[in-house]
Amino acid sequence: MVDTKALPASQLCRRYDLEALGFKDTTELEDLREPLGQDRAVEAIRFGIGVRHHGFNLFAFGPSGSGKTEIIRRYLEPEAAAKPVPDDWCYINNFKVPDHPKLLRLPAGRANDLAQQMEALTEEVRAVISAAYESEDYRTRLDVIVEQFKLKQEEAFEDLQKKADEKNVSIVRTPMGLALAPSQDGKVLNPEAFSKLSSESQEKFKKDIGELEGDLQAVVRMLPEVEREQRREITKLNREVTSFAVDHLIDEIREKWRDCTAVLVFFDEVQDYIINHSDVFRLTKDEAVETVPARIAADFVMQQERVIGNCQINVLISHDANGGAPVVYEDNPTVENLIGRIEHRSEFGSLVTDFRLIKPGALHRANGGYLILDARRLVFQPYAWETLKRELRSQEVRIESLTQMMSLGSMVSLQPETMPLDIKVILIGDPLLYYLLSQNDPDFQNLFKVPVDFDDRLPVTDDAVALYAKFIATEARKKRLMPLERGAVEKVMERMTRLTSDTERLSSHTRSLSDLMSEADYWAASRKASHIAAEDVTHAIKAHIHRSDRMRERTQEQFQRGTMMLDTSGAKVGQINGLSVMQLGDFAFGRPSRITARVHLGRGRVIDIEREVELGGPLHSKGVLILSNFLAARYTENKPLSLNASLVFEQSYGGVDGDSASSTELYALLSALADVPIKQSLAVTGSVNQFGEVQAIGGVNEKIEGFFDLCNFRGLSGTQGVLIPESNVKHLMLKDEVVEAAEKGKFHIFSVASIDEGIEILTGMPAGELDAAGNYPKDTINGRVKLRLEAFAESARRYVKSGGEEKMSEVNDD
Amino acid sequence: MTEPSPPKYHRVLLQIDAATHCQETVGAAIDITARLGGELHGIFIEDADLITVGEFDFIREFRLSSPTAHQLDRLTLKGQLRAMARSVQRQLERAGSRRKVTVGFRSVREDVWRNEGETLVDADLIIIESTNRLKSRGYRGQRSNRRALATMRPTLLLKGGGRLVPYVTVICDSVDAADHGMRVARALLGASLKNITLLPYRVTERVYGEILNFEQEFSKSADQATEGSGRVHVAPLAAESDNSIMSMLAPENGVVVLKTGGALMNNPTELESLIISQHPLLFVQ
Repeated sequence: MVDTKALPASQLCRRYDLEALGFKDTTELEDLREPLGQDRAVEAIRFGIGVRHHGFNLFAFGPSGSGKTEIIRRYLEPEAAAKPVPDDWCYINNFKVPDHPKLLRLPAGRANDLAQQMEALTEEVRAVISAAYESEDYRTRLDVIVEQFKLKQEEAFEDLQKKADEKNVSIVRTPMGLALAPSQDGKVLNPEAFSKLSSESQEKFKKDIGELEGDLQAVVRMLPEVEREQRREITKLNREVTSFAVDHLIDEIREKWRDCTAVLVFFDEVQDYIINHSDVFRLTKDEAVETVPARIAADFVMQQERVIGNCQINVLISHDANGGAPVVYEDNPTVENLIGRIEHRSEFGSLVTDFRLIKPGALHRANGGYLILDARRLVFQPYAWETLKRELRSQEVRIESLTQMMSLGSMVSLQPETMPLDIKVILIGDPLLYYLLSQNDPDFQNLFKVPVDFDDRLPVTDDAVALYAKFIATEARKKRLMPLERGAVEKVMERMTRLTSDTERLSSHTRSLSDLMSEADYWAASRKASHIAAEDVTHAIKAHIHRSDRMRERTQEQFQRGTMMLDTSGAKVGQINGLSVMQLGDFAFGRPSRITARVHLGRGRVIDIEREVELGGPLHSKGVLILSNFLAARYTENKPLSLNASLVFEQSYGGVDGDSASSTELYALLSALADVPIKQSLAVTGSVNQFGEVQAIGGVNEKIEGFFDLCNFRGLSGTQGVLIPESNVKHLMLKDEVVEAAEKGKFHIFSVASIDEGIEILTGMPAGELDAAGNYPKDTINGRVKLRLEAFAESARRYVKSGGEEKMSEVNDD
Repeated sequence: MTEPSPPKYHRVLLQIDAATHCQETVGAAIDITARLGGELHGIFIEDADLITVGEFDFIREFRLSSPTAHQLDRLTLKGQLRAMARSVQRQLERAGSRRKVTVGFRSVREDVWRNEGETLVDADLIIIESTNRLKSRGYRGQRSNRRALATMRPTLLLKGGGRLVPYVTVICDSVDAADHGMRVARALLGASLKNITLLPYRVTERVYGEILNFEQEFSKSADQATEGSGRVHVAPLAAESDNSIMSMLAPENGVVVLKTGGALMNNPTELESLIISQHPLLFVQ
């Protein structure tokens, strides 16, 4: 029989003693400069930021709330500040193809200057052109042109008039044109007078009118050409007058931009454009409103605004000349927020747009610097991930709406010139997403070559403990919390160790730490303290658990009221207390379950009832299948396993998964086969392999505490306890109540390495070792099991001999 | 010298026919009416000759927008005239509502209009457009021009729908004509003193001296009234055999104010040259 001594209380929980660090509270501790336990990630960040080659973008992954963004910013911002400031970018009108706006690149910090200068220029242009057209000089020159052409027309008509007068024919102006009519003494003859004329005279009139009509037609044909010529002359005059008024204004600002050829070209285009569109400036807005009908005035004003607007610039991105490279965090990475958008405005019920309505996206803002994005949000936004990859691949930003990309809709839009892209993108996400993308997206490895893997735990060493204390002090200051007393720091570290479920690790999960400290700060403040004490941390932990444990209480209640059947005393054959963990959000708790086993003659099958009814998951089924092999291999090496065994989680109505109950099920099975009762004061957890070795499981603390809470309610008898795998001892971070009960010998934690160790504790009977002849001692568990199985085998043999083979097959086939 | 109060002009009559249909004329009439705070009555005169022309089956129309000949008939012409009248009415109403001027309108046949005296007599100011130029829109306008001159009401003859420039020349053959002309020019056209030129026409040296005195006293009283709008300019006295009246007018399109019954009105050659010139004419009684 093995030694069945329970684990000492000291092994049930790790306590921290920071006295050696020599501080009373966190005010005496320095700030932590480097991230804690993230050496690998920091190295990757430094490399990723430094390497400038294409595709070396970063994907930072780690558990949510582990401070990834903050750490990345901490390294990124100094690096960005030391880099040269990227150029400013503007969109300007493409005077040749207006729906393809052009980009204008300017030295950093100068785009806004140009925008202001262009605004002032256009306002001035509006005034000077209006004044030029108002000038007497212009009006006189215009009148001269108009009169010249009028005279040309009149001369033609006067000749005709002269001819007509000679033939007593009048030229009559009709509402729409001209006509020739017979007349006498300058007065048009009426039909009555005309009919009184001799037929020769009448015929002569008709003949003359017919001849004159030819001349009239020639004159009328000439009129459009004369008018066209007049318009050309007026246009020439307008260009001359406008040019005189505008040239010196543009020359003035041209001087300031001698160093920017692109801007000078733009000025040339603007100059031509203004001169070609000077007509719209002939009236001021007020004059237009006063002198022409409202609709025409509105059209006129709109046209004026459009021409003015086309000469202005749309500053897309402007940087502070002394600011360094930009670091942009885009919180909502939609397609539009990434690559910019083209807005529309309503004009008389239609949606129209122009280059001034192009808005920048995060890629524009971060160009020449760094862009941080949340990977999960990015992939959840329709087409955002594909768009980002396309821009990174092509190294240019193309502003295109979703409707354009998908060829939906037919709204008037623009195709702005693409902007060259030089950017480092840092995606922040969780490991699952990283692995999914790297496995399934062929572009991913080409574009995000630098993984930044954040850890959420660090090994407990003396150095690490000292640094962790500083980490707590730094976080407290950052969050403007009260200082923590040394005892509080120790409690916080215990809690952070519990979160890792490993006594040899500390959690570096920043959000959990900061939440715990914030809650402790609240409790300290509520008792009007100036420092956070250990009791505040304990209070915070308990209150946090209490807020989440309604379901746990409800489960406990079911046991207490007898709805769920579970014994914590006595002993029973084929019945054992198993332990499972329920995870509800960020809260997990242990729940004991009764597991039973029944055996009878059969063809060597262990029936997992959970699996049969599809309540058992694959891992659970795997554990059960191991059991049958274990039984066959250990006890009936040379004979067929001739039993049918059934295993069931009693009163379990939900799914069961995981193999942490496989050892428990095996104990129940052995008890049933050996017909030896199992102590119901004990609960068991642990998985088992084919050799009967007990293996580690997860959630050991929650499982122990779950059973403890039930026993505690019913009253601790001193015989109660839990069997856990030996390899789980290092994971024990049990709550104070359990540790205290263990100290007082009222509750026991047993660690076992094999099934034999476990069955001895559970039954109080030796497991029994195999002798040289291949037999187990009779009064041992193994001996009894072997005998029972051999008896089954013999019965089976007899049954088959008596012709029951077919029946047996039928039974088993069912 | 105290300047007599300016005459009151309330009822303005705008006379339009098929040829004087233009926005500028309507705009000028509305401007003047608005300045006077009066009301504007538009009269569209249907040309009797046009109706007559429509009765000949061999007469064709050559439209300015197309060189093809179109057969004319009475019905088409009537339809065109009515459409024009409606268009003029719409323009008047729109312009009136924009400037908050009360507007009336009616369309009348020329032969009826010729016999209708009360309308002209009731008007405080008559506005007619005419340039007498063949190609101009005002070609047909002359039909009613001469008749208007015979009325005893102030009459403004616009030319070709052009804008009214601020310069005014008052042709005067007496102090009374100068005084009357200046007051009407200021009241109707809103001319400032510095933009008014007095042009003595065929006056003796004595009358010229009187006109000079009148101008000095007028300007002095205007200064006292701190009007600050400058002084009226008086053109030098020209000999009778000197250049015609046309050569003395400047600028080319300034408004000319004439007093009916004066020396100029009795000189048909000079008057005709004025009528066919570009100068808008304001006849005052």
